[in-house]
Amino acid sequence: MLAIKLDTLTNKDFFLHKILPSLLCILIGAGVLHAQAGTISGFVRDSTNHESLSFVNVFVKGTERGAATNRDGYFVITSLPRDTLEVIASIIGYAPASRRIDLREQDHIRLDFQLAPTVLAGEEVTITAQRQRFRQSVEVSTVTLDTREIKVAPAFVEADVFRTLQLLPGVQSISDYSSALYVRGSTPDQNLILLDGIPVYNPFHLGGVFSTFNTEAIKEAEFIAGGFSARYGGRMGSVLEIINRDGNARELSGQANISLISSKLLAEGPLPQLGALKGSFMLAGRRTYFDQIVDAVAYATGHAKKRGYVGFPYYFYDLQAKANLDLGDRHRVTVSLFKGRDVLKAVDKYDSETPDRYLEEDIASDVYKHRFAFDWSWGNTTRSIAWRWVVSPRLVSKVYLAGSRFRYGILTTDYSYDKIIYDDGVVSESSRENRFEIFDLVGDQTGRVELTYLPNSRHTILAGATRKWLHFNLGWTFAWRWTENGRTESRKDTSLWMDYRPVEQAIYLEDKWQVAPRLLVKAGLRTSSYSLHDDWDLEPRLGAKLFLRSDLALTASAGRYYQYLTTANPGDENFRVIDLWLPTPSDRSAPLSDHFITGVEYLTSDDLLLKVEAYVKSFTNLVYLEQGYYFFMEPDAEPGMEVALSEFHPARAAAYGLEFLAKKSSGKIRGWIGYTYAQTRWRTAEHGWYAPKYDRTHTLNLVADWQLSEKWHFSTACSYATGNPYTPILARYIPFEEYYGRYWEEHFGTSGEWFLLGGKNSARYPSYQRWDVSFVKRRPMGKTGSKEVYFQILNVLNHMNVFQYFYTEKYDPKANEDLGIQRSAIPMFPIFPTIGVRYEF
Amino acid sequence: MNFRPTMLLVLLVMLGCRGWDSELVRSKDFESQLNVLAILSPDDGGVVEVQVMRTLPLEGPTGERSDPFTECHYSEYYDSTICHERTRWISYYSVTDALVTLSDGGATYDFRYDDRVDRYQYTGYYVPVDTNFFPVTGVTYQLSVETPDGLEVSGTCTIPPPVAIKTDLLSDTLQVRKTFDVAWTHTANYVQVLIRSVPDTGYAWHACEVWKHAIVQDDSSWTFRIVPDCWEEADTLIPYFEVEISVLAMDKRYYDYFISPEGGANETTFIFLGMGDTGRSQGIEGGLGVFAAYRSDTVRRLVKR
Repeated sequence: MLAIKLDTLTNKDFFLHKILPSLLCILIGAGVLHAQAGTISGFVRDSTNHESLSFVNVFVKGTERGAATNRDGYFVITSLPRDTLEVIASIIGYAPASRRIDLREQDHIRLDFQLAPTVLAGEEVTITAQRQRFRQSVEVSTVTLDTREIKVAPAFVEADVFRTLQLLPGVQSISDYSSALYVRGSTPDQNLILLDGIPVYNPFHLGGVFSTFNTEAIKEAEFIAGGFSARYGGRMGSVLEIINRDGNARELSGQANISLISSKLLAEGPLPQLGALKGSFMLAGRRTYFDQIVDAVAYATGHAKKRGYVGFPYYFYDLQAKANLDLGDRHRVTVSLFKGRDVLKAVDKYDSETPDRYLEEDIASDVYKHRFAFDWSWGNTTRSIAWRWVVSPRLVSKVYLAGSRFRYGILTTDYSYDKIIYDDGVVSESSRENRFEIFDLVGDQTGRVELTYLPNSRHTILAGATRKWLHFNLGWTFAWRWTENGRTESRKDTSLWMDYRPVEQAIYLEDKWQVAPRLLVKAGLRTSSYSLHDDWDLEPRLGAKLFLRSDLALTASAGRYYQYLTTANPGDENFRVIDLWLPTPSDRSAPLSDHFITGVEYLTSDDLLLKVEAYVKSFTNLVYLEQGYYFFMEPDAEPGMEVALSEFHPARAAAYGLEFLAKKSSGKIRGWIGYTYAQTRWRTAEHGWYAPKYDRTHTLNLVADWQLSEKWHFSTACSYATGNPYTPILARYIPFEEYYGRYWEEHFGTSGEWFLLGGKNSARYPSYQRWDVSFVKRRPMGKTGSKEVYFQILNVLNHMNVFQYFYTEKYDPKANEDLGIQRSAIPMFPIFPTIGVRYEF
Repeated sequence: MNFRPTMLLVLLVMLGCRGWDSELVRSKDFESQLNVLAILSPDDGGVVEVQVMRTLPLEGPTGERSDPFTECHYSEYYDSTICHERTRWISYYSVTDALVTLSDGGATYDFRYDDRVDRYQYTGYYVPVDTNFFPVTGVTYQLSVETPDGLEVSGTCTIPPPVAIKTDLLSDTLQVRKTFDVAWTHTANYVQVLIRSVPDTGYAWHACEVWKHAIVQDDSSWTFRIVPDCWEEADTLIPYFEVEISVLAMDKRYYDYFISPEGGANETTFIFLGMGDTGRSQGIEGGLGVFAAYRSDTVRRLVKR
């Protein structure tokens, strides 16, 4: 009997000691065994900068044999006739390259292509990356944005990949002030955001107004709104994989961008060649400079020396670095680093010496110093090293070691020092210091091994194992220190201390299988464990694509997704500075989501992609933080005792919707029209089913990018969406309170005036409308460089989009009477012009 | 493409800096509801707390309305009755003309609006016409409130059995920062324990304050420590102080209305104005409020510092 019980399957030892070693042996063995079969393989790169090119069509002329390059630019073509062959690599935007090979005497030939960019298109063999993706990719709900699409879409002040993604179907935004992604009913903490394969936990600056990713450094961004394959795990919403540029391996070049708020600089070039070792690097940085401008003006005008001057207390910066080192033609080592930080810092100083008020007393001198410092900073640091090894033409291994760290901290320090010398020589010296600190640390150390094996032209098998060592440390402390004439007293209270070090591990296997000429299937299984729980969780994934014609396909996908982390933010807040991450407690089941997606894709002859998708998602074992319980004090809390931040309540949710996308990725006019019909509902014991804050029923986006002439470029984004939900107030009343407290003699009474509310989030703000435009004027500079001046206007029509209502009492001073409750709207972005300049050299 | 960027920028910024509009919020299809507090307990000297209020629309006045009245009293000094014109303030929420009755299946007890001026009138107190009315253990009472404009609510409530602190298990003198157990006899699911400085001990009460509070569910004892918050001078002046230990056994309605965090479906999104909820109602049919009963027992103990 080969039957295996389910509990055996979910047993940790069984997987670690049986399945994984067997899997790796089979794959490596098979790869070596098949190495002698007749194949060609190689990489396709851009001839100008050596960047790898994905979805390039590589085919053997006169046969039906061919393949598309993967994200690394790698291709394998198998089962070729033993003959002299002509192999062609082509993709739109590049001149096709052709090479003749002789396979009569060899089983395998390594064949690398260098394609030269060209503005000309029209060769009959030239096809677009989009068409290749249409043919090869099984993943539903996937959109790939190249650097141009990210850069040209109008965004707030400067291009932002998250702002561009917010314009795709299935993605909703909660407000203009947030670039967080709400995808098909999922919240931002359910998005797996990978930068060169490394998870990033809070990828935002300024409370979400900007994302941390510098668009100058991005090569491409792949966004999967749902139904993602077994390769991805740990999140149950969507995947955003950002790939940074490898760096120009041919020559030293750079870019500079100056916008209203920040400057960006990018430098890239080849690494010094040492024998067979060669490589490239990319270094990009960005910093806001408003604080520096304010300081410069203040120093010039003398204001900086005045008491109370704090300047502009905020800035952010980010740095991205990447280096690739090719060790021969089979090994590549990639090192990447990212550091982003937001700093909100202010210091107030006051010093005095022998004030006049003491002159008539018996004080000879008095030195007094006071410092109040507020330091609120947060940011991410990631670093990784990846080793890619082409074991054989059919087997490629990748090993990653990566670390991701997010730290958020608020520290206030109040310090004073006083030294008094009396006339009789007696000295009195005292100091006092109060420190209050809130911090949140998320650490993620990841090791991952991944093998890609192509046994034949019909199968692409991918297997991998990953282990994460996580660290969550959330604390809230108050320290007090007092010194007087040598006597010191101090006290430190830790009101909140949560320190967890869970371990997450997963093993996955997937096969992209050409079942029949018209049927492509990707089946996968991921099993993951979480050290605070006992069992392994099974996550089956299945995707299929049935080609009705060469340009028309039906797609379907289903999968189960577990997530072991959550954020401790109240669900009702619509502006969050930061996410506070926590592991799922050991006494709660792991949250999971099931995705079911089906759709139709049609790619017209002129490369217009038409896509319709319907999805249903369920969410189980969700937890949410009770509104207003951010810093909930235990009823019996005493100084020094813990405060419960983890006042989580169980919830579940469901989401379904229908999306339409028409996307044109080539030609003079590019862009897309996206429409989303979405329904998301949460269910809690307190409120029953309700629409969460980010639910928008209808969303329509139009993004167009028009090359007007060689010099001028125009782009626009137009959005319409149903207003976000909010809880309406219906009437006023006064609830009763129990006064069984400290000072009250009466046992019962009333609190102040309260509002009687309608159903939770049962009303909606007026519909959201925004139209943005952007003009770019490009001028050549030198032989290869250019200068671009861009001018954008956000919300051209100055439409008042409501961010939130706030309520006040309306009072008539003439009649001396209250008129009732009035509400005002806090608006989202008003009309907002911005200008910037970008250099390439 | 011939435009003047500077002028355009200025114009756009001016357009973008428009003010925020405000509008009065109207209560659509508003129908007022009664909001009634009715708490009964044979303990604490007999508690019969009844307050009647109503909900108000969002538009219209808030706060209190003035109610001028004449207050007279006899003065021995002048040997005559002296009257003063005074004004009291009555909340717009208060209902002063309701017909309030409690019945125990046999007798019916009428209540009247308590217009005593020494009581704050904000909340609309009602007191039994029969001053001898006293809630009785095990009896089920029916509450009925009607107003002349047609609003009415009702409810029933049974007085639970008494609760008693097991004094023999509690030391006569407690020591600060040491742990003690307070135990009680009762079958209620929810018990509220309160340990506080005895209010009527003057200076000592202020010098060393104690306030500990706990909700105990499905248990009949609670372990506590007294950590007083004392004045610096109290170190030498107050070697002992007195605390009051109260145990309040409540029915589920009382717990859900006053204690349970889930009881109110709270929202805090109304920035700049206040709180709101979906309307708390426990034991009140046809309106808001609470009709509940509780039992309590209190002992005093000396605490040694």
